[in-house]
Amino acid sequence: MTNLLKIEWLKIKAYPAFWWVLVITAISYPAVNYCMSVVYHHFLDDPKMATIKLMIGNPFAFNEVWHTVAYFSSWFILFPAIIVIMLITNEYTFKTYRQNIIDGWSRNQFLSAKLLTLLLYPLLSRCCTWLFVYW
Amino acid sequence: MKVLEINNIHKSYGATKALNGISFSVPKGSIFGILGPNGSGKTTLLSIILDVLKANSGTFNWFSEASSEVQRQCIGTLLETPNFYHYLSATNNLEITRQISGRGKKGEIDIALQKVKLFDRRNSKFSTYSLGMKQRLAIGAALLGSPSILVLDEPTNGLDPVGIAEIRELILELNAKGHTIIVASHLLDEVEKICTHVAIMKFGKLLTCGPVAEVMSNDDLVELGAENSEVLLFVMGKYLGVLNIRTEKNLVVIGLPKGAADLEEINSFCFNSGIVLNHLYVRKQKLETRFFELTQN
Repeated sequence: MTNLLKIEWLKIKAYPAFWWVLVITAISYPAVNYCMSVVYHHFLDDPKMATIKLMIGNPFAFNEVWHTVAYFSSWFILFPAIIVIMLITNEYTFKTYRQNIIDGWSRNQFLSAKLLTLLLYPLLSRCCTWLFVYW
Repeated sequence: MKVLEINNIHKSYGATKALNGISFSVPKGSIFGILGPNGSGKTTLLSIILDVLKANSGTFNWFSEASSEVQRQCIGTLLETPNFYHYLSATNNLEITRQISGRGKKGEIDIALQKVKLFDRRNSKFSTYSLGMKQRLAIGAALLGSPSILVLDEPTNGLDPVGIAEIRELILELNAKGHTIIVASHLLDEVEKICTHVAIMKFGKLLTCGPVAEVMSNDDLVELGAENSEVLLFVMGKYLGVLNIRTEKNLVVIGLPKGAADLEEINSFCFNSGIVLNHLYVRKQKLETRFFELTQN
């Protein structure tokens, strides 16, 4: 299994487009959440808005923050989606899925390698969210 | 010992029958040429034995065992087009090949790149390569770790004459070390120069198969020339074992049973009949001629 992941890593580690989209994702997720929290505090800390604030509560406090962060981050879900689409379609446009099979992977190994990599992305972005929330 | 055995393989794409009951076997240590016009099913056949495609029916065995990915790892392959990650360098692409197939050690990537003369460009992206260089890299990937079996589909596609000669040398060199090589090609000259065995296909059917000498089992043709070709024609008509005789320009061409062309004997026969020859040559039947004979009717 680690070998499959190692090979997938070789495929992406020198792929500039992958790193660009990853950087964009890594910036856009905290940025949108940060902006929203600034906006929230700017408008609702005003004493005149006290009633509205009472209605909404504080979405940037635990435990509500999980829902809030997940919601705002989902606006930029397209970026990780692009990564996934890129990595899958590349294999087909370059016909490398055939080469992988020819070189000695079984079809199952090819699919599980991809699946494992794709499972790592949500894990990664979840870690980012945690970091952001606790920070 | 048989390296590869193919039994009665059928494959159709919808209504098109791509392969129609192909069976043959590849002996160990041979250079096996698979010939056929465009669309005869060469690549389909190779795709099936490499498990990229599934046959509708029929079986094939590598080393007398059912196929598996472990066997594919020991086979160096170039199938149809060079397939590599465009955004990676040659070294990185070969590293992926090496990791998947487990062939060769880390340092052998450089050796493979040197063999196909791409070492200087090893850090350039694959997308910047010319067609010939891509083809060379694909051959390099097939050679990685010097596998005991090579399957090459049109290996000389896009290469310059020097490149073609180099690949030919490479194939002969590997064969001399005991490696088995399966080559599909429509370049008959190439195949004729290197192959020990051939299989000729057309429309998904196997027309003939066997050692090159057997496939080309036809009469020996001998060209003779002398000052007076009419007398020569008359005299040679009386030569023992002549199957047919005709003139071509100012040469006399006689057909003899296969293996019966003894130039010394012919020469002394003519001399004893009072004719001095100025031209005597056994015309080797070209694979090309045989190929046209087989594929055109």
